[in-house]
Amino acid sequence: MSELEQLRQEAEQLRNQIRDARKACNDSSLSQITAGLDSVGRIQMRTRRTLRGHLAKIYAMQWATDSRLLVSASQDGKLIIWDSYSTNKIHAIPLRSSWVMTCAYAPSGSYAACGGLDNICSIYSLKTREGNVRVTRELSGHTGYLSCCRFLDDSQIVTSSGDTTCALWDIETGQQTTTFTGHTGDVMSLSLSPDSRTFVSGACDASSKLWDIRDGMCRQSFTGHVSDINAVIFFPNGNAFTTGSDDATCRLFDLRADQELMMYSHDNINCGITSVAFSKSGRLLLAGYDDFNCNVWDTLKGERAGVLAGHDNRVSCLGISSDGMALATGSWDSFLRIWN
Amino acid sequence: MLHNLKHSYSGYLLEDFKQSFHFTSKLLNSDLITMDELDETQLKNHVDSLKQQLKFNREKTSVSIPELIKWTEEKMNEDPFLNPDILKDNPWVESSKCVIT
Repeated sequence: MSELEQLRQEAEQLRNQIRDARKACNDSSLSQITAGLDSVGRIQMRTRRTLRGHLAKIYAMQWATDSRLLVSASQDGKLIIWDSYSTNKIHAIPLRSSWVMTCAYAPSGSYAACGGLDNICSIYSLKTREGNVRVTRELSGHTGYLSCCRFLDDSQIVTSSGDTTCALWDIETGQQTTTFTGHTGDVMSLSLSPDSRTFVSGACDASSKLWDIRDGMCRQSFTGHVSDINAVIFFPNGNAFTTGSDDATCRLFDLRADQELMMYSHDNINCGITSVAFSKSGRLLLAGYDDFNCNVWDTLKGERAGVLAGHDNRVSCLGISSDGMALATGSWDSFLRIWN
Repeated sequence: MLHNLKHSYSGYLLEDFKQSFHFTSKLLNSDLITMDELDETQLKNHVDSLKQQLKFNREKTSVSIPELIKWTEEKMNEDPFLNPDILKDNPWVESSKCVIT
């Protein structure tokens, strides 16, 4: 038997052992336990603001930690920083490459980042002494498109890429501190844990992985989806996460039991999920779909609790402010909406 | 890799670039690597990673699920989407009538 064949057999054995270990821990189900739980009732939200200004599809957005400002990125080649209360544009930043797929807001509010088909993560300083916004770093190294980026702090950012890897960057030096390898398909999304020690990634290989930021190791790996995973988000307490996929389902994965707990799907829903977010308590899961809607799911009972309709095209991104007060959705219809 | 395709398919990019990338990727099947295509080093790394993952100290769902539920229920009172009292002070809703000055 060749070395390669031996390794393949060993991998298969290990996968089976992991599967068996998970089964051994699967002594109760979330839906069974919550059968008697009070339902959250009908969740209805209204659009409180419509942010108009982008001239083409919006691909990404992220709230600032002040729960008031937010950043959005559009195919029109602009990054816009909005005041969601007044709908004023604080900054409209022209990008070097209009093929942007992701954007991020640093927790301090001092920086924004974006990237896309240029394979580069560009860092923008929002608080220069001159009062203008400029690129302070261009992080290059990925050999595929930048699908997602998230700031750890002003000096570190994590990125995911179509080159199947994720990376932790030292913004000051412009170098990759750590590379996270293991996915066998484009990595589409990442989410940092509340304690910033780990992050989860979702990829086109239909798997999601939990990574240790410091040592670069993949601690846990999850399968279940049958198509590309487009979005991942940590549960607010850091002990679980949810994924959204082209297979029209969202799934909740328990990090402590190392397995899937719930699937959020409906016979009437046949399109892909682009984005996911949790409400402050985690009880509600919000997901953006290709069919222009946003569905609200009861995380614990697995039932749909509401639908947010209003966009005239695919909901490409969404996020809930850190104080939990509002949901922002971004769409290919070029608008962002603020809901609560 | 998909990023090489962007030059050939630039015509499609104006519309639906991610969709066309995934569609093209699924058509060509060249970007999704299967176990058969990993080389020896990649397979060794994969096996090492699996060995580490196997060691993970798993909790029983009969323990982790009730704790997840408890955490959520305790926080629901502070969740603006579930506690209407919190949204009485809604920054996006004018609480007083308009004043003309």
